[in-house]
Amino acid sequence: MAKKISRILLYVIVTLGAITMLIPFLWMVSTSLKTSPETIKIPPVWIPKVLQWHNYVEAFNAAPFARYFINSVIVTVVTTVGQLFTSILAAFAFSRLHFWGKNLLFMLFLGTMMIPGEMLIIPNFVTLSKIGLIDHYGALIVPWLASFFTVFTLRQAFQSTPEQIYYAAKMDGATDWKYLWTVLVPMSKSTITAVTVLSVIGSWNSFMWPLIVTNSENMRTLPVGLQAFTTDAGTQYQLLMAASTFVIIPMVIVYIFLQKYIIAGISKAGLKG
Amino acid sequence: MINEKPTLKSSLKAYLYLLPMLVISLTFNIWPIISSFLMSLYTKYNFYTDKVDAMGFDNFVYLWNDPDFHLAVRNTLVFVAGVVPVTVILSLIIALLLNQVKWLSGFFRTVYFLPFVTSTVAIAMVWNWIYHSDYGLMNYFMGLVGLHPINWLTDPHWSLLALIIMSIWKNLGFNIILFLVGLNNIDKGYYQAAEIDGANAWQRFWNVTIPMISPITFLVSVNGVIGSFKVFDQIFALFQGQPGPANADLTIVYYLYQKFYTEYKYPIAAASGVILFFLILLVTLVQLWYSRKHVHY
Amino acid sequence: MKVTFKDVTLSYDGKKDTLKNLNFTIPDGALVSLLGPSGGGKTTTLNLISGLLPATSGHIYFGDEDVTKKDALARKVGMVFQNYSLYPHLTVRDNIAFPLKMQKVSKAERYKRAEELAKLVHVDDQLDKKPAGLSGGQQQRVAIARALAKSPSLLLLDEPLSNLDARLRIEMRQEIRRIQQETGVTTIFVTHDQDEALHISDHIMVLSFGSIQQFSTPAELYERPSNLFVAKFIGEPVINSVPADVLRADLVESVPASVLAQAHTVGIRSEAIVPFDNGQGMVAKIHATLQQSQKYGRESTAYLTYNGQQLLSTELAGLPASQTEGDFFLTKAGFFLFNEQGALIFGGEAHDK
Repeated sequence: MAKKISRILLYVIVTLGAITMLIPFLWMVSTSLKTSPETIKIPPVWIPKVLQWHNYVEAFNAAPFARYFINSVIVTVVTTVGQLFTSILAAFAFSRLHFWGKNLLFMLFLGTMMIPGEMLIIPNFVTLSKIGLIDHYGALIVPWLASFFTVFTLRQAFQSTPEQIYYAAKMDGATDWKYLWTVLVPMSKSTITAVTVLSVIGSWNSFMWPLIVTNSENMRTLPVGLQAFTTDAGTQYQLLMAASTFVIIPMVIVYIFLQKYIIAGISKAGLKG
Repeated sequence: MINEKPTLKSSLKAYLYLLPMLVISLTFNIWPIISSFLMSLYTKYNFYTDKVDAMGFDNFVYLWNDPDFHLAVRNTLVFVAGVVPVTVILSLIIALLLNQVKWLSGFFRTVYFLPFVTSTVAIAMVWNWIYHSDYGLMNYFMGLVGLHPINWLTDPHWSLLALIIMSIWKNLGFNIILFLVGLNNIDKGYYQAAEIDGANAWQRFWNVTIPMISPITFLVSVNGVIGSFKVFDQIFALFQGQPGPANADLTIVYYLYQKFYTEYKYPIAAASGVILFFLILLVTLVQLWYSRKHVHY
Repeated sequence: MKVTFKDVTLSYDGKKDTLKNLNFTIPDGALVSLLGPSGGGKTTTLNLISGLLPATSGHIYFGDEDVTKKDALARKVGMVFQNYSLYPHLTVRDNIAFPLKMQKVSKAERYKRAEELAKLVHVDDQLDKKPAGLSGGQQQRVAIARALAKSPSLLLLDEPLSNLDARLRIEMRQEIRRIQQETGVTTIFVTHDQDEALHISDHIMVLSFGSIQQFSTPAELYERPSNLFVAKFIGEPVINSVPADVLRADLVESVPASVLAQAHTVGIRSEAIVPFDNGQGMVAKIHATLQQSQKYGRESTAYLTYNGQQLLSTELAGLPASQTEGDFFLTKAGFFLFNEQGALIFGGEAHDK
């Protein structure tokens, strides 16, 4: 009996907690479907009388969201693919190749992870202004093509594959390059998926850097565009919430489909890194 | 292959593999670190021509005397102290509860983790609306339990708390996942042994779970501290491009942003970055020192 | 392919020699096992043959060709690793065909070859499975097929049976023998299990302390161990070894005086202690007390005490249980004398080739 009560209590607490976590999302979606007068009703209305789907169309057209969306997709895809490419190569070198200065270089990279990225903004901005990349895709993408975090996580995964498979592949006639792409990468699929998803989320949601290096409306990514939109929308909360919803939705979809990998990735990288 | 020593050939080959990553990171990670330390010492600097005429510690003296910077450091410390302990304790409790949940456990995990994947800017808009003084949910719920409404975002007394609450909500999921992994990794044998030794549930919690989970607690706290020291996006979005009412939410990174982006005082911004680095280093070292005594690996 | 080592030395750290001055020739088409205690240098020797490990000094020849400076790929050796090292993301078919794919053999051709090899090693019904779906024995077979796919100069196996359970081990060692005989490829395998080595090899190389203790046929290894280490290492139960002084007086008649003077240790196989003169040549008759006798299944063991030394015999099953002492005979076969350095100085002649 006592066991049953504690079981019920457990579910009550966990459910209440879950509702608390969900309220901002529910409130966002609910508001996004209201009429303007409904948004300021007290007590609050959770389910609007008539669902105002056109709020989404209106919000989408009120600012160049289509352009922001395309920018975000381009930046996210190119950053992630590029970062993955440089990291896979570097992680392979660190895990299987022999070279002078290996430990020194590795320690140097490990040390730089201690430096807050915000410190790097000013010099990077200066560098990019010099090469004239400010307000170009280049500024949004190039600085993020190297990620120590990704290199370390992949190196960990590569090192955990048996060394003998490397020898076996070498004896079977695979070059290092072939071994990397036909054996090691497919074998480390789950870790690669995990770092990919984390990189996609990070890139998609990144704010401070795109805010600083974009001037023109045309180059804004979704978060920066959304921030700018708040000034235009003023108190039109139903439009603001609709815009927030379509900024959030893509990552929620990515998350729901790939959550197993994200969680595995976080626990791998987080616990060892 | 086995026991191979690096040779000129193998080194050249390895550096070819490292090349793309090295080029990018030398340009955008390693050099900027040196550069920002140097820049913090520029006292006469023309950023249009990138010309340095004099160097010294004037920028740090400026920060030492700038009341805004004092405020930024104070707010940052209050923010860290407000967010980290609550997040760590709350996420441990939730993880312990979720660890007991069998039915719908996947669903609950998904829900608690959801804030982590959402855009900080987008969700801060939502919180901005929740904190609305007249029509916001927060004041409505407070009214239901008989509390007076608060001007969350416009009253300097409350705006930092508003930021803290939102940040805790956003950070919980990530830490819960780490704790859940840690709890899963505890060998069940310890619990059985403790039970045979006559430890009750509460004693098992204090004598098995807490010590066994301490490395994760340490990791979560360090992560939390570092992340919280760098808070910026939330503030910018929650207060719509302002560091809160009357600078009540001005943090070090926000200060850096202002000096750099709106006032073009690059060397001062760089100096504040250097201070941020040393503050983080200091706190991390203190945590490390503390963990030597209290974390069981 | 004949393999020859000439003064091969290996040192991992440049100071201590892990293997010193190895000299041997492995005949073409033979099945050779490298046997010895762990840390004795078996796997290191195998890695030297494969080219995974470069020799510090000396020369290695495949046939007449000096391959010392060539790597594993250029030596064209096929290798089966202890944990099989199959590619977990590829099917059995693609695993076997992988070396051919690297050689850019056309898909149709390499799959045809993969199927032939799968038939040879009896995994042709598993072609579409991934390694994780196979039993240990099947993974072993796939690993052998993959190693054979590139028609290797040599087939090398590193402790191929150690991850299998006892029953499967016996089955797989027969399989290795069969496959080796069907393909005729020179095969070298590492093992720490003498039973394995004795059962299937043409030749056994006993390695210990970084050098070759003996390299000969299994029968010779048992019947004429070249030193005390080999005598003790090979054979179950372990050979009786007692100080020569214990038996010196009994050996005066059968052993030349000059040899006997050098004798330091006596080695007597348990089957060389018999209760009567069977007429096949005896070296000594001893009067000993019978301590205990035990019987397990087909085997029976008894302990004798002679001059304060215990001797184990497996030939005393016929004696009445009540008997507590008597005369016992030591046969010439299975009786050895070793000098102070441990080298064989007497015994084993009767079984010379």
